[in-house]
Amino acid sequence: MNDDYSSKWGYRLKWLYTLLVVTTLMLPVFFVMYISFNENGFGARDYDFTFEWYGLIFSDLLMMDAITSTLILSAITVIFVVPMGLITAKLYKITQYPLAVVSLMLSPLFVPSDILGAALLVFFKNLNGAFTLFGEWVGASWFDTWFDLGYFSAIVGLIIYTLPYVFVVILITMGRYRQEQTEAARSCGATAWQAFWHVEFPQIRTGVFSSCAFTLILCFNEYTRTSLLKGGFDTFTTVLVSQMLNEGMSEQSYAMSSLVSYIAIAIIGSVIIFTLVRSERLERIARAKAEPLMAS
Amino acid sequence: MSEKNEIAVEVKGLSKSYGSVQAVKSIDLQIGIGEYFALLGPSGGGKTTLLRLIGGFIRPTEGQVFLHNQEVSHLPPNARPTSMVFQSFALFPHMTVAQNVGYGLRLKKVASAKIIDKVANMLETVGLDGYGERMPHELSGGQQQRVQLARSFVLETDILLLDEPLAALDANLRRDMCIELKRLQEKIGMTFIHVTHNQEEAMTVADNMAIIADGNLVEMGKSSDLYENPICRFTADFIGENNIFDGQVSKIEDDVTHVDLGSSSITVLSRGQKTSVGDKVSVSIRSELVRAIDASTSSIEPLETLSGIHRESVYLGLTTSELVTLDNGQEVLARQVSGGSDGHTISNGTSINVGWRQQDGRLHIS
Amino acid sequence: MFWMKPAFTLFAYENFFTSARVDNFLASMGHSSISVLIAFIIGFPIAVFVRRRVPQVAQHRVILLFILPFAVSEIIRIFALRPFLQRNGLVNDVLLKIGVINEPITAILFTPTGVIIGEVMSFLPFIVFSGFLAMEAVPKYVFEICDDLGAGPIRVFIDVIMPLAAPGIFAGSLFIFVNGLGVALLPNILGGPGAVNAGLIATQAISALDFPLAMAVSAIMMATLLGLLYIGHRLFNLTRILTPIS
Repeated sequence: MNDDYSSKWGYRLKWLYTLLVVTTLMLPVFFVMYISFNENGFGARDYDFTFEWYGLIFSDLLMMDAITSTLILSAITVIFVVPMGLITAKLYKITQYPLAVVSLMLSPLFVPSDILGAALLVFFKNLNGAFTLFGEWVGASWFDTWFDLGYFSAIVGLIIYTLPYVFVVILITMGRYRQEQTEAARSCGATAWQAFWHVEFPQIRTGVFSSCAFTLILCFNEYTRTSLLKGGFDTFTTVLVSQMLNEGMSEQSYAMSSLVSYIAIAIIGSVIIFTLVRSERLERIARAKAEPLMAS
Repeated sequence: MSEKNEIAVEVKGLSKSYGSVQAVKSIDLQIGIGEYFALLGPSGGGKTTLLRLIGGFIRPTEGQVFLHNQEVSHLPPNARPTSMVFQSFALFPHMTVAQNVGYGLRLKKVASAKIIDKVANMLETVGLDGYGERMPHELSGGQQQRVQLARSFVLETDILLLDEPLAALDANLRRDMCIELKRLQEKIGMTFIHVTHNQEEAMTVADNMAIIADGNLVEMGKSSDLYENPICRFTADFIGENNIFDGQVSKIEDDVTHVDLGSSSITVLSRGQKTSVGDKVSVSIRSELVRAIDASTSSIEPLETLSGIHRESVYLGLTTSELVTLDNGQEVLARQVSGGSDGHTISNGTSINVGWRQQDGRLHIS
Repeated sequence: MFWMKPAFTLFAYENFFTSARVDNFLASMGHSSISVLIAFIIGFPIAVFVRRRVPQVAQHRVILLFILPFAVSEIIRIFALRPFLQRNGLVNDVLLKIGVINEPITAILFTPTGVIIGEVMSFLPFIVFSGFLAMEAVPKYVFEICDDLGAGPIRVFIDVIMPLAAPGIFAGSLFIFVNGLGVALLPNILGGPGAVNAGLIATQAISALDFPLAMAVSAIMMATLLGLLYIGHRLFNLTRILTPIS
């Protein structure tokens, strides 16, 4: 806090306001969690606390199927998107056209999910059609299903969706990294890869892992793009939506949604706590540095 | 010219451009084995770029780099017999001092027992005995530089590049480290190439130095030569405290060139430099060889003189400087060891002459 | 399978502009603008507050708090608004009990208001983020100077914060605006039968297998986006946003 003349009460009020806003944003989530513990499901007059629905999650085959598919999608997306983001972040640091790189990388953010999904859908269908025609011309049916809607198209959509986020997170983490260290490592005899792995990566590790976690969360919660691009199978979000729009969510769905929310909140919470711990440690180091050792 | 097998570093026609900006413009340079060589020059003049070209961190636009007579122009840093010490932030913060120093050896897959041995020895050599388990952030600036030195020495490469290694240290520490560096270089025997913009630093450590400015190699030679007998006007301007007079050649006699400064004229020994009447030239004199002369000052030898007004005396402890404004407006500095002029001071505003022996002046045609 | 025969034509655009869809499109632009405004009023002060008053080290953590809503699926958040805002929902219950109103308010859910509320809630974190990044362009000493000169908070805001932080604010607002236009789910769930936005038009077209129409709508959206970006760039020089990252 500042030692200036600003009012303490003003500060506290503003803090309160901020927390209020966050809480309001989270209210629907808390509500879902609240319902998930209710034996009588949604909208019932009486409320009986129970863990019953959580237990039943695993017997809800539709839901479990969907979750598995979503997990697979997310995992594959992470495997591709994090290295892509890493490489692009490194490129950004050394390129002569940073503006072009950033615009390109951040552009998906400005395209609404539906439009992106729709455009990709049409793109894939056209590609599919083109390849099928080509196959007919060549006489092979091998090409027919290359770009059918399915895992591949869904993953492409997810990669496009999450890449900007990964890029920004890694870039911000790399902001603290000094290029001299890579050069020093090279000068000690390291190849470019060794320099990256031994020296740079340990220092940007947190950023890379947070972006993995963040990507997972994003993929899990994504709806529109995935629904348009996935083709036949179900994912977590599509199951929820179809239930919502039709008969209302099943009790297990509430429980599952709450479960996913807990995990996501736990992940973000631990990131917050981790950076808390880290900054305390850095503060301690900075204090130690401020009183330099006399001997040289 | 040194023998071929005594040259550690040679660059030929080396240039580097970034788009339309030429950072290094066709430099030719030779550095002998075991020399302590300084690249001295103003900031942004290209000396760091040159160093990095030698080290392999930048690719040349044109020209070649030879290390120990092998061409290395396009080899990356890890393939060259060089290692580099940086200005700051170059220690690996997530490794201990010992791990930092041993990193290069680890890469070469040296046996760990041997690594421990070598690291311990090297830490002792640089004066950091027992600091092996500390983390870089626990060390002072000077100590961190020593760890960098240890890290490079332990690799036993032939050539050490230092990129403004002392710039982040305060003045006192810098002076001590300069002497440390010289001592270590003499002990270990590597060729050192040291980049700095600080002339005192360069002159303390280096056997030979090169002035690099605006992408060009201006002049090269021993520190004493560059200080006492600079060939280029730029060198005279950059090193030492020199007075420089710009003018035109008005007359040439056997050994003496007359230079017209506009409102006055001086002469200077030609020392073999060829000029024609009308050429633009400069004459420089070290300020400690210039004296302020008033009526009371006696002089035995004939002096070159210019007239002006005494403005200020500045007492700097060891030296006292007299600032004189000449009739044409130029300021001249005359320095002496304090207490030399029999204790009499010149009051400000009096008319006075500045004078020097003809042979102390140096002619510059470029 | 039904597919399109390649041929260059502007038929889809014609279709779009002559139908009632255009009105829907424009109406949804209006709604999105309102959402942006409300989100800005609610969220931007938070960004300013965090930047100015919270100690440097804690700032990122506080901002991370706003990622929490993301942790939860957007669907859940939006859908869970229903039991809040509907006729017999929580909000009405509470208001009735307190006695502020005598009858349940029906004008919230399944109306454009509901959509706006949903949009604000979904995208508020983005305004906070982009506002926070935008505030990096306003150095701290500026505030001290203002205090020194005796400027009140409103003047400070208009003369100092807005111009400096403009690129970031604009980018954030644009993001919300465009997403508000495009996301089909929101009006679907919260808006009731009448509510439509561009995204919904597009997805409906796709389900009707009218791909050219869907793509036409998408193209118009992208053109709107690019146009706005260009205007924003001319007005505010959006490249300034990059300075914190570089």
